[in-house]
Amino acid sequence: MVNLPSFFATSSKGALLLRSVASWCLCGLVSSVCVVPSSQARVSEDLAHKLGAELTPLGAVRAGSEDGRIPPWTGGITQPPEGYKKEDFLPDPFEQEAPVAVIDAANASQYASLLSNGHKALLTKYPQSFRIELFDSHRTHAAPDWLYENTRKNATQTMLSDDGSGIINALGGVPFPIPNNGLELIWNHITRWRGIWLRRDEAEAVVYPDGARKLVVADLDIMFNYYKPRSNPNEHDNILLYYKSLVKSPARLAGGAFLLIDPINQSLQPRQAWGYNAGQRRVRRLPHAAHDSAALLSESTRTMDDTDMFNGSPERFDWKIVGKRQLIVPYNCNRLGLPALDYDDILWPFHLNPAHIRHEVHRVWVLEATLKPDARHIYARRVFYIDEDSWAIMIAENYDHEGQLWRVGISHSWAIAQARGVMPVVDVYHDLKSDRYNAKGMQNHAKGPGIILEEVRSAEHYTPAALRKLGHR
Amino acid sequence: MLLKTIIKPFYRLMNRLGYSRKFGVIMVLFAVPLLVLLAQFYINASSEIRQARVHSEGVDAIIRVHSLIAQLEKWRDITILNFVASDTELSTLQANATQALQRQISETRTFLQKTNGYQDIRFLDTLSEGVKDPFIAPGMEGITIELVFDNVHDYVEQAYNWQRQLATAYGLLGIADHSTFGIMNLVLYDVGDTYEALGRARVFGSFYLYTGFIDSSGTYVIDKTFSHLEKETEKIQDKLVALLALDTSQKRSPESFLNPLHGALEILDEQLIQVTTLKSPWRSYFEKTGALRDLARAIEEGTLYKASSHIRAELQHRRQEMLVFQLLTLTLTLLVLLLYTGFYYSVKNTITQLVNAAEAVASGDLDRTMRTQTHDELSLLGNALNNMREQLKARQVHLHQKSITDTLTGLNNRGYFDQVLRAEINRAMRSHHPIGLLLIDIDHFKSINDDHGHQAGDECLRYMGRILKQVAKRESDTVARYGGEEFAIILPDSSAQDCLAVAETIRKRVEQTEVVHGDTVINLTVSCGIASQIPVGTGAMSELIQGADEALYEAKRAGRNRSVFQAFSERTTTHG
Repeated sequence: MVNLPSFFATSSKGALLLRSVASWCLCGLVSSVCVVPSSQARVSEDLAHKLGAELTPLGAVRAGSEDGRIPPWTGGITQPPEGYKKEDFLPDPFEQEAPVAVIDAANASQYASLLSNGHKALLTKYPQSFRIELFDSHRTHAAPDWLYENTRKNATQTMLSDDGSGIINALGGVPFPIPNNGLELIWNHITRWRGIWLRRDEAEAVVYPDGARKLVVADLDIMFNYYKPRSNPNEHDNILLYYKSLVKSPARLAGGAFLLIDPINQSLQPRQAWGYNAGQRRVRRLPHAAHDSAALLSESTRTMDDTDMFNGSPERFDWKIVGKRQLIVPYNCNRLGLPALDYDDILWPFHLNPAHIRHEVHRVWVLEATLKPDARHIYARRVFYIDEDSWAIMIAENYDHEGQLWRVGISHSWAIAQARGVMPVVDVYHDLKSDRYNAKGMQNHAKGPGIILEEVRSAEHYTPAALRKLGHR
Repeated sequence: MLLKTIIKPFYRLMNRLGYSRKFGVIMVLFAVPLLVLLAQFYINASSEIRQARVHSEGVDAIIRVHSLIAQLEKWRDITILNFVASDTELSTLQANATQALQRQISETRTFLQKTNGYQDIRFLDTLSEGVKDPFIAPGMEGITIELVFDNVHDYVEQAYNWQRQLATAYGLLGIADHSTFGIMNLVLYDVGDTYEALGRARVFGSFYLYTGFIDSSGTYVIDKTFSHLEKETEKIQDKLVALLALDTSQKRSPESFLNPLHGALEILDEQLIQVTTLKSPWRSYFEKTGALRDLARAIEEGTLYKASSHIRAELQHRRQEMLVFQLLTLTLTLLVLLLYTGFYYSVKNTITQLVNAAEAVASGDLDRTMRTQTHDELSLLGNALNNMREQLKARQVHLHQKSITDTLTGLNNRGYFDQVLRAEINRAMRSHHPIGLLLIDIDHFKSINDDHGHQAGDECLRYMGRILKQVAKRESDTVARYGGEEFAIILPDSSAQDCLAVAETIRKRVEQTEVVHGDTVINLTVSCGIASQIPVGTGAMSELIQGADEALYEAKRAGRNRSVFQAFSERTTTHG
């Protein structure tokens, strides 16, 4: 019910290395690389030098697009607006802007080259209500300087583990700023920056075709151990993140607590998960909190690895970078997270209220995951569109074993400057077969924007015993 | 010796007590242990009946709780599905199931309250409260359908636990009858697992059919569910075979109960395992498996009812036994009471009789026969006393005879003569009959003594006695030695002629015979004075004696050897 979070922070002092370098060649190079054996040598120093130059410090193409739709990266939003207090929600920085275009079922064909299959399917399926309001693009993503530096180091030293289910020699930054293959690319998503410690209340809803919904509110507490400052890149206890959540409402679900510990190298230690079962008053290991296990409380509208668009071990799929392209994706959706909005206003039948969703054209990596022949998953094929700046999956297309597009995941990010970076405000999972969708990460009714801190929290807070305490409360 | 020492105090105690107290003590000593034994027996029998009644009530309660659990299972399934699936019809079904469950809970409560109040029915309140807002699942990522099932199934588990507690409270687990014990064990301990497995098959199957796909964990869950149900079916089959083997009265096979389970396995296999895509509508799966479960429940309930009627029959039997026992005890007690009373009175009366008889003897009444009506040792005592009485009586007669007899002649003595004469005169006065008196004196007796010695005289006297007894031979005649050589004869109811005749007979017989004493032969004569009158007044006796005396004098004077009648108006003299 609660997100494996994807947040971002932006380096407040990120230097604006504005250098338009045509990097399409790089894209072409990368896209031709399929899944390759791990442990290979990392990118050359020469290539790595491009980081911070024609590439952004995190590995995106610094330059804008030739057609001018995408602006160059200028360091992102690193400062909150004047007079901002940290208890406040971050206002929409582009509040004054008007959409440059509204795409609906009628004119969708004109934008075909900029639309994902997922968006197209939604336009086709819900022609009456679904539309896309397109705005000017703003590359708001940023990260702390130390993260840039770590990323630079990672570029030449970080490697995949033998089976690709883990990474080696990574400091807290983007592990593969210049990804050679699909596995590296998905690891960039998995490890992306969302602060070190994050705590916030968020709501999740399953919305039925008739507009009825079930709403669950949870207190979320995540520690990204991967970003723990360290001199030795492998001094991380093989822990990627601690994830803890406590359901606060509705009453019938309240008191349920969940703890998940994800490893950096899944082959050494698989994911561990515990749940506090209020009825039994005990903490149980949850054996199936991964892969395609249906998330029961979202009425199986998403799988466990659907959360955060994708999370956990990539072991069941073959990963392939299809290429890089311009794509209309929800971006800078600060408005969607503001407390002024009511859930009735946001949660329309079939999809969110399009009026609150800002779309922009961004460059995305196209990543294709195909189920390994000997592996089991309810999705046979998945296509992910990964934002080049934040390495976050913006849209996920999940296909069933008949090749039909079954579920479309759409991550709505907002630029949060009190931290630094772009992070999801609402993730939506459309089940095209049942016409239900699941919206996660809504904070509109939360007391505040939560905290995103660059400080390490003790691992003691993330043990089954801590979970039991939490559950007792 | 030792025995004697031991018995002595009791013997002394008994010696001190009267018969009524002896009886009292013995009655008490006999009655108390007997009563204790009887009471013990009665208490045992009553407690057995009470136990049988409690068992009967218990089985009825178990049947109630059994259907409560069945409803709880229905509620569980629908509640889980309503939780994981969104369907307005399901919500309605869930609400209905909850309502039905609450109804069942309150019915069960009423039922249990009506029977003995020692059952703990607080569980029903907890359950009623619990199902109002059931704990289904903690809100948590990664929760599985299995965990949800576990959570809701917990209510069923609790109900089973409670059912077991109830069964213990009702003593159903200590039931002696093998068949019933087997059924109870099966219902309380074994079928729960079977139904749980069936419930899992039902809920998980419906859930995945509803979802439309089986994820990786689902594959595992479905596989596990199938194996689980298969295993439980085999387990229960073994138990049923063992149970039915106990029940030799009927040839039944466990198939009726197993068929629904096999049916559920088949449906699970058909609709969720042997398919590439899930196409069967979840609702029909849900209903079918539900119907199968209901079928199994109904069969199980039938078995319970059978156990119930069995126990009821047992209770009836026990009650009849008790009634017979009560009647028997009552009759025996009455009989013993009557026998003891009879015994007591028999002894008491016998003793009273003996005492009275002994007192009569003491007061001189030796004629009353001492007889007891019993045929026991007291009658021997009675006979002995009677013998004693007869001995006493014989001795008394002998002494009396001696006291009224003149030892020389064997005739009555003078004392007796006076006594009889007085009595006879009195009698004659009453009857106005004449009474005669003869006074007879041996003539010249002094010279006989002088001539022949006193022994010859004595022989003459003895001779006279024999003659007189031979002549005055009437029963009523009294012959006495009046003194010295003088004799008297009282002749009641005799006229002067009668007396004269007797006197003459005597005189003649004496005159005609001789007294032989050794070598001496003595010829005797006698003089006889006769008086006869109907006595009047108080002087009658002396008058009569005087009359006879005067007549005797006259006879002497007139020359002896003659009889002289003295009459008050005339004198008659006879002589030979």
